[in-house]
Amino acid sequence: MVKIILFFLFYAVTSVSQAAFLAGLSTNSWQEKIPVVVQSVEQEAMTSFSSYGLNLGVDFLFSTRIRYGIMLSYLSGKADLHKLDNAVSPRRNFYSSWLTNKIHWRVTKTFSFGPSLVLNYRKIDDLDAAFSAGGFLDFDFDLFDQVRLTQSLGTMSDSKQLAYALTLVRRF
Amino acid sequence: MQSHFRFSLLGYAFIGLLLFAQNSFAYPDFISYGYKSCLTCHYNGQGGGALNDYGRALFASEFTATTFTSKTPDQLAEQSGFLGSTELPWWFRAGIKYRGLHYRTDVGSPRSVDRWIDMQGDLDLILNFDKKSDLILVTNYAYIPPPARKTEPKPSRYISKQHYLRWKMQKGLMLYAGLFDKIFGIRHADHTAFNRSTIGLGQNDQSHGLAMQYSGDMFDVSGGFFIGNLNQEKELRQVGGSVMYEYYLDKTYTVGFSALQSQNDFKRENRYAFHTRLGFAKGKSFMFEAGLFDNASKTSIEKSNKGYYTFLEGLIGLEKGYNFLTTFQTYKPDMDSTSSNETNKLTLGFLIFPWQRTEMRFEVANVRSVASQNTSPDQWLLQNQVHISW
Repeated sequence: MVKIILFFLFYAVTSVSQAAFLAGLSTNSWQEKIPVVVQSVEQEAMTSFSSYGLNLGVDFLFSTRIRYGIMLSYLSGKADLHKLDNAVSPRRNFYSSWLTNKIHWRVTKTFSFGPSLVLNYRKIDDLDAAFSAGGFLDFDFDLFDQVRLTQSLGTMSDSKQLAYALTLVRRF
Repeated sequence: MQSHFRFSLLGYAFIGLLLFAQNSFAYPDFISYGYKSCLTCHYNGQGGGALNDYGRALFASEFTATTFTSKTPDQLAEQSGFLGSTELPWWFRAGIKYRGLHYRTDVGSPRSVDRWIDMQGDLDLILNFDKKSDLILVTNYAYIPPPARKTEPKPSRYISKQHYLRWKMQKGLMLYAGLFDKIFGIRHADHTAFNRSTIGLGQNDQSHGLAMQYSGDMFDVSGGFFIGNLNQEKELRQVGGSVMYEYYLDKTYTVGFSALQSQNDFKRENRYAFHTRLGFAKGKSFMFEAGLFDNASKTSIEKSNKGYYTFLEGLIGLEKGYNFLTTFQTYKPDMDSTSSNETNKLTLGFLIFPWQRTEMRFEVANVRSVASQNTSPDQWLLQNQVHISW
């Protein structure tokens, strides 16, 4: 999986002249339902995921206004089950890989926004790994010539709960 | 759902004034316009409190929307005084400030509650002892709302939140003596933010003391000692000192740090913070503050209670007078306890200066609190505010 993504990144960068690498840090928070067993009965429980992440990506400039970006994020943090009756819900560690695709429209010299689609592969301590997906609206603020802060707001999977991320990247 | 709107007499009076209101507010976010120092607009060099003449004129002409007026910026500036274009005698200045909040808790839930709070009603009087304002006396008489928690049966009351002498000893060097806000971190309008309310720097946490400030071309440094608010009982007064340093990396980019140490008979408080303010385009800015605090109990067994907070605020100007406002805050009251809640608060909304002397805020807030075995569903809040400065 990682090799395929890296190959795609390499191919994309070398085949499109208006491209730039991105690297940075993020804090991510979202909620998803995960399966738990309570008194021998399996049920789904809402869980809050809180994490920090490392981000690597590529930006492609299609025009002065339109930009496409792809980002791979490695996230690590804590997963907390919401309170359940008769259940013990200790905090669990998790790690997650986010593959983000986004198309952005540059409104001003320092501000752009657009939708992004996230594919999430996560592994919680004692549970099986699972895939999920999310939809976001990203707001990009170019703080300096090469530094960008992105505020992402959306929802993950079928939780119908707010998911958000703040990502600070430098362009190379 | 319960709807509860409560106005004091003061509230009604100010709502009446709203019809003729003009704006006068100054925020650290306005570094994006090149205004780095609070002293440009405020009598208090740390920000907050009454605006000086220049601050009034600046906000009337530069930050207020022109949607509902045909006046020129110069005309708006000329009419920004307490009596409009009629100038007060040079030795006297006055200001009135009101802040009201409507909020709705648990949005979308049957437990949702609406409430109106008269958060602030201040009368500021300033006496100039000389025409250059080298020596001034700033006084204040303020309405204090009753506590939000009904377990504290305190009525609303009126007190002086600020009264101090400011002496300009030489260019850039100020001495303050009296009752004023403690020097620490970014002083912005949201007194409930984690970088204010949780560390004892709320809107009614002023202290008597002595402070000095030096504003240079490239930096601003302030420090002071405080002996607590003399209106409090003696054993509750926090006695200590604080210092803040801010370096100007550019016209619209600063970094700084703050430290505060104090104690009373029951508690010892230490606070340390780093902050930065960045205006990345005209009218567009971000501010960030990250801090550590330690509240150590002095009674029986000494227990240290270390926590942290972060505060990020973006103010993005959309058009003159209309701004997109977003904040992201985190707070953990006890870093050593695994059961201690970690709270994130994300707000999105608009900050509008529709006409002179008036500010409106419309915000939606998501509060997410997680803890081992004690994580709850998110809370959603609606917060609408009206601020009037006369």
